[in-house]
Amino acid sequence: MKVLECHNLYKRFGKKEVIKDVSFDLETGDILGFIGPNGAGKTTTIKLILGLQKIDKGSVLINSHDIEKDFVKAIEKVGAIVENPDVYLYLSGKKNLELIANYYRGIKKERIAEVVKLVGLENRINDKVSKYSLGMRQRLGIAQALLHHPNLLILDEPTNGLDPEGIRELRQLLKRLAKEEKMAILISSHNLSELESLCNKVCIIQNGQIVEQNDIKDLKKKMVGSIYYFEVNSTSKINKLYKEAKIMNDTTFSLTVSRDELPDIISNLLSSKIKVYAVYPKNVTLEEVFIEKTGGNIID
Amino acid sequence: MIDIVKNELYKIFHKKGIYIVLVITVLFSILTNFIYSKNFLIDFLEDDTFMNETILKDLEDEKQTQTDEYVSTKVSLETVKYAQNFKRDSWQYYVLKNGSIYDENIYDFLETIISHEVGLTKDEEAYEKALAEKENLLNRLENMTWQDYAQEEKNYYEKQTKKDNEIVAQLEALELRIKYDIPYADNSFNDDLRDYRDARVVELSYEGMDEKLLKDDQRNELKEAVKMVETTKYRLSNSIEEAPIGSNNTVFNNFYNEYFIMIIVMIVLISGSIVSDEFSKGTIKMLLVKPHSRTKILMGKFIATLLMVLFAIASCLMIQFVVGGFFFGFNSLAIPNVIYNYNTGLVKEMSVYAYFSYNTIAVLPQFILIATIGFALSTMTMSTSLSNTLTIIGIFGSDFINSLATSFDLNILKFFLTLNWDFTPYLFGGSSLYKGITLPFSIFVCLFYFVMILFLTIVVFQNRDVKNI
Repeated sequence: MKVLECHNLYKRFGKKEVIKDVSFDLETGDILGFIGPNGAGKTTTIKLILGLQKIDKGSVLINSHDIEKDFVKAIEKVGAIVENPDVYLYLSGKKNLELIANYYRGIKKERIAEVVKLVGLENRINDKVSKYSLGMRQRLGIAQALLHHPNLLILDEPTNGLDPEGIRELRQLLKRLAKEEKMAILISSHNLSELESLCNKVCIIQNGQIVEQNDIKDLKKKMVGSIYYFEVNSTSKINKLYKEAKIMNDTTFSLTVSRDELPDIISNLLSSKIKVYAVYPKNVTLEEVFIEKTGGNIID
Repeated sequence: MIDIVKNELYKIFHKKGIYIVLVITVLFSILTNFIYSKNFLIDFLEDDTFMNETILKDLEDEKQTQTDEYVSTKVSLETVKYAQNFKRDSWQYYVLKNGSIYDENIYDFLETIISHEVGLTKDEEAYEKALAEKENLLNRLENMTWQDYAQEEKNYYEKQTKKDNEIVAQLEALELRIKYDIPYADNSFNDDLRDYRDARVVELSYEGMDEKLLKDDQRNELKEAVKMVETTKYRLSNSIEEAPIGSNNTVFNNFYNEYFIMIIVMIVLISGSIVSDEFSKGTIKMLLVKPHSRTKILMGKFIATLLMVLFAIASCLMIQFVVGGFFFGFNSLAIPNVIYNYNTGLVKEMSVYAYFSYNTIAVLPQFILIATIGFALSTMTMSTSLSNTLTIIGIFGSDFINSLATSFDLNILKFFLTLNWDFTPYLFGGSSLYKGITLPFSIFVCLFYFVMILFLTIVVFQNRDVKNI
């Protein structure tokens, strides 16, 4: 079931086009990693989805309700953190949750206790938020986003300020929510290694445009299938045979080829009196995909 | 909606700001009541002994050249001294102290005595005669009742051949004194008699003139004089004492003059921050992704603001009640106000509480509009400090516009909000201080501004992109 549909989103601030033709879908159980360099338009896209900014062209449907035409219905089943966990510093964590519960119908005290336990804030929930660390505030932000049983969770940089243990817990929590509560989760982050083990889909955005979107497995497979390392006795003659080969050191070089070409390359190397000890595919990280797709972290 | 308003009120009462203002209000109230209890200014202005003594000291060296001034100053001081021959609460003391000796002759013989004593004249015979006369007067006063004295005073004025307005008014006042049995003393009935006499002088001066030919300020002067005559007459005939300056009653009747600043501060602080604070802290994003329309969220905040206007008034009232009670007790609150209706010309009694309620209704539009303006600025500028500053500048800047309106006949200014938002002048049949402004007109102007400002605020808030915070 499609939970979120973004169709050809377009947004400009004055003359600057911030979002150009962004489209993507999110289905129940999906965890979408929304990645891109700073200023690429991640937060703006999230704000368009949440109705915090007007959409110039295109449309956003949440649970089949248009965010601009039918805001209340569309936003009803959405939980979100945008930029920072927005909570009142002068109130206790518990009171913050109680205030938020008032905006929804039928949220009971037990549910508040439940989400507090879920994010592991039981011991500090009665303290004022101003005494919280950034990580604890982040947990409270997630708690308030989960309060009303949303089926779409939008988290903007949720791992900011969390310690490694907190990140691990969050990862487990989100995976569980997607699986058990049938939530769709949109998560933006710059910490790519976290997204790698968490998301099943990835969407790379640059200069307001989507440059790549795919299942994370397919994406990696595509990359994995192309780069191979060769361990040989000497790499001195390699460049004469394959100009495009990258020499790593005296005994290793890499080559971008398809799997089908490998036997030919190996027999070619052997006939050139080069001893081949090992051939193995390169393990591609999301970061490498990201850098390849965006050309590094360039802000325009 | 009720939940949204409750949330907003909860947030307001969990910020420090409101409690700081309340503490300041308590201190302000203590200071106000202290000033009332001491009557600093009034004592200082009414007692001219100190001033006369200073003048006398300055004149000491020049008494040869500035004889007249020196002697007359000394005469004033001497009459006070004579007053001190009598008990402080006696009628004689009051008569001498306030210089309300009807017989101008007393000043003549005092002058003779003093001129001789300081060596300005050498006429021994006249001096002796004046001394005897002085003794005679003091003896006579001592053995007289105040009724005899009043009768004597009355006879004296009746004998005057040329009866000007002042004498006519003085005679009327004397008749009232005798009729209602009011001894000479330092109390509110004597103040009433004096006010009655002064107002009658004004009233008499307009007698026989066609009211339609009067200028605006003349008509107002006459109106106020008639009001004074009627109310003082009512007080005297029903023996309703006016509450003393230093009483809870007086502070309550001046409540909105005294507490205006504190109420405004509270209103401006709350209305000016209720929306912009959410923007500056980023919490607006959390609010706007809740399943409620933006208009509803905004109106929840606006209703909370209006409730805080009532809270501001109520808290100042409570503070005054307690602090005033501590300073003066609560007895004076039972003294009724005497209200004159300009329309019917009738006078009636009104309890302090009823009078306060009428005044509250009359000032409420002003407070609500200030709250609305602060709220609008807070929403539009998204900056608490900017909207607070602008509102304060607006409130005090409006005094300038108002004075322009009174000084010049600028008809266009009558559409300006601040000329219309105070309804106190309309109470009890009164009319606006400004030309061409009537009660229905003021109601229309206030409603028009209220609706326009609110509408504009909603439109701006509806279409606002929440930028990065």
